[in-house]
Amino acid sequence: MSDSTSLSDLSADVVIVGSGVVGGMIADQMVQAGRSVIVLEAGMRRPRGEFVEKWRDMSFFNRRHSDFQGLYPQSPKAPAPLYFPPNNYVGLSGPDGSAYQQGYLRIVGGTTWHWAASCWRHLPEDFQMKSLFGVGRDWPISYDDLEPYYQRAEEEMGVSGPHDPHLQSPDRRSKPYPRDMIPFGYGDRRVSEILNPHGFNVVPIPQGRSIQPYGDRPGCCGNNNCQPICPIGAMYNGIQHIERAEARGARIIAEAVVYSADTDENNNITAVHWYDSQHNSHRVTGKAFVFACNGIETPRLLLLAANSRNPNGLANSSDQVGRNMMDHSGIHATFLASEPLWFGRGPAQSSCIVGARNGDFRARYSANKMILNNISRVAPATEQALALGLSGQALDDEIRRRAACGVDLSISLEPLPDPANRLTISKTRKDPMGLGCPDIHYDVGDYVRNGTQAAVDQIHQISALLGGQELEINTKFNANNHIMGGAIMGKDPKDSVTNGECRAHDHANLWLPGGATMPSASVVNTTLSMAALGLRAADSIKRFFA
Amino acid sequence: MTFELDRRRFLGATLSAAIIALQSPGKAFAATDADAFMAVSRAAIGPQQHLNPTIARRLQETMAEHLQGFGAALTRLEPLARQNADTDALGKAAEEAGLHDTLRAIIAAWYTGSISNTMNAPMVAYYEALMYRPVADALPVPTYCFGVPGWWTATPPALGISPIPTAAPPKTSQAPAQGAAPLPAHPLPNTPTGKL
Repeated sequence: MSDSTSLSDLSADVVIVGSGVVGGMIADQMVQAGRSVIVLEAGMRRPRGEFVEKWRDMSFFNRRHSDFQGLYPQSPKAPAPLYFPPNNYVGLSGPDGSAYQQGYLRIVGGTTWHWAASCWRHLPEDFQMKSLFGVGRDWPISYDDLEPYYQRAEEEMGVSGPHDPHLQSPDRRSKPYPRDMIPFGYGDRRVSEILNPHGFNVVPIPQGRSIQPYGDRPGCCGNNNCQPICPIGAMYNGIQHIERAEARGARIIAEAVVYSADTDENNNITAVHWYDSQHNSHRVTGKAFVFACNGIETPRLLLLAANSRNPNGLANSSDQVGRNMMDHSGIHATFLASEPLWFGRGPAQSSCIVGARNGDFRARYSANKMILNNISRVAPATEQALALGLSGQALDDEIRRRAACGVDLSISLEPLPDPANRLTISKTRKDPMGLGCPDIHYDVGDYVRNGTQAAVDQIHQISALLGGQELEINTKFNANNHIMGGAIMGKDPKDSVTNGECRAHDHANLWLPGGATMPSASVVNTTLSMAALGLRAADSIKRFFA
Repeated sequence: MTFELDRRRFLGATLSAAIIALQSPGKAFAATDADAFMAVSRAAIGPQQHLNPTIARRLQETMAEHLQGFGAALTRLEPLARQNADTDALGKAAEEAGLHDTLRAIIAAWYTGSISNTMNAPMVAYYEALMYRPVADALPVPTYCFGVPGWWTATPPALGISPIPTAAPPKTSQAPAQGAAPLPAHPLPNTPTGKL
């Protein structure tokens, strides 16, 4: 929408800030419920084909080192964090600040453009960390409260997961997955056979893609490029719900940077203010407001939008906005198996080791999950073979050997919510709109550090069982873009930001669904939980209008 | 420094000068830099790989533009490429002539498709990068479709070479953590058959 006059005095029943999986899904729910909907997105709107071409045109180094941000054009006025080279949009500090280099996108459709489509549920135990294990926090809702929404989210996203309960994690389900598991390739079958007798419990990752078409989405033909872009749209992306909502009448406005809100005498939100790409300010009034901007941008917006009634930021009477920042701070391991396993055939994620996902040890140290990455090993194999100084047939053979035998484990750990892990607004660094950039202080904590020791021991066992050579374990924590905690939910308005419906304690018509509300991280990717919370918030908004 | 090497260098320089005199002034040993690049590439990479002349031209132009001294090094490499029958012999000759880095850069550029393994380095080839060819029977070039949905459940091709790496010494990793709990053994879950 470039005609600025048409952007003045907008109004809708539901105003949604953020066009990712959560914002898009709620928009689609609300237009189906007969509500008028406006979605405001800070970033640009670009087509899939452009991302595919930009990825192919990227240098080997960037692709080899997973520059998943660089192919997505950013609005010059609303930067996302970039690392090739770093743009330092997010200022990081603390003992593990370097572990919090998140790669989220600001673009219509959101960060699921470059996710791998893992659609995990939390375990029932994950909702009761304090009562069962004496650590972290309990959720104000139970697994059974969220279970119907997990199911609905799986149906919305077309998730393929195992119909065999022995392969489910968790196996407490009201209905089967919409589609049976994405079938294992040879590597997954062989590794399961070797590891499972030792308790490692290799299971298929539930995935937002399918072998047969799902609705108007094509079947996956294994292009092995889920991250950073599925070239054919066989993987679920948030853009699919944006397009659906739009077809049903929602209005999507790109390059719209929301920066403040108006509140009335009851502290209800009455409008949000936003800048267009020319830095002109506009206002949208509404009845219900949803901030679904991502785990960093949601708390940032709440803090930026401080006003006289809410001097510490919107929704922040508890002083918990921006605190409890979490991610699945991860470690990495690679080795060469003693036989060819041929990872890299099929979608980029396939199986996962969940033997250490749950247990009494969680009272003492972090659980973990270990993804057996199914990303082609050709690029690292080539880098290694070239470094050996080989040429001719010997070089080709070494690339083949290393690509066929290479194993790449991505290990996720579970940080606990710690109020000291905190997002604040920088007083010195501003974005191009003049809005303060986010600063984050991060310490993974001893719970994760102790869990890392256990994970390292398990990696050694796994490598030994597979005849591993050249085992390399990188225990420098990395970010996994599973951003949680900054608008944490809870029963008590004094120590939490939202209730179990993601509704702000301080504002009766403001919902903050997404990772920011999650009180425990579990060890599994957050998107399905975020989507389930989004659908639950949508039901809450429907009741608000009823 | 051996007499042989000095003599070879002397001969090479003399021949170069003679050919420059005979052919286009200002150009190096071969008719064009592109020809020189192709000659060096063929000798450096070996007969098992087909080299696309369009990619060759683009690599040569991009390397010449971005890598300091590349053109001069290429000129000196070309006679060595013509004199050495296999990739190992060429590698040795290039090392003796102080041209090893340029030779390796040319090989790496062909395999990776980028002119150097550095951030945002200019890239020339994606699908045509040679690294994908030794595994072309087993793995897709990422982003390209390899078969019908579910193709990956088929048995992969035989490796065809020894699976045990011999070229590199194993790297040491950190010792197992003390006191970390091993996983409890429990029954093997059904292993998926991978059927569609």
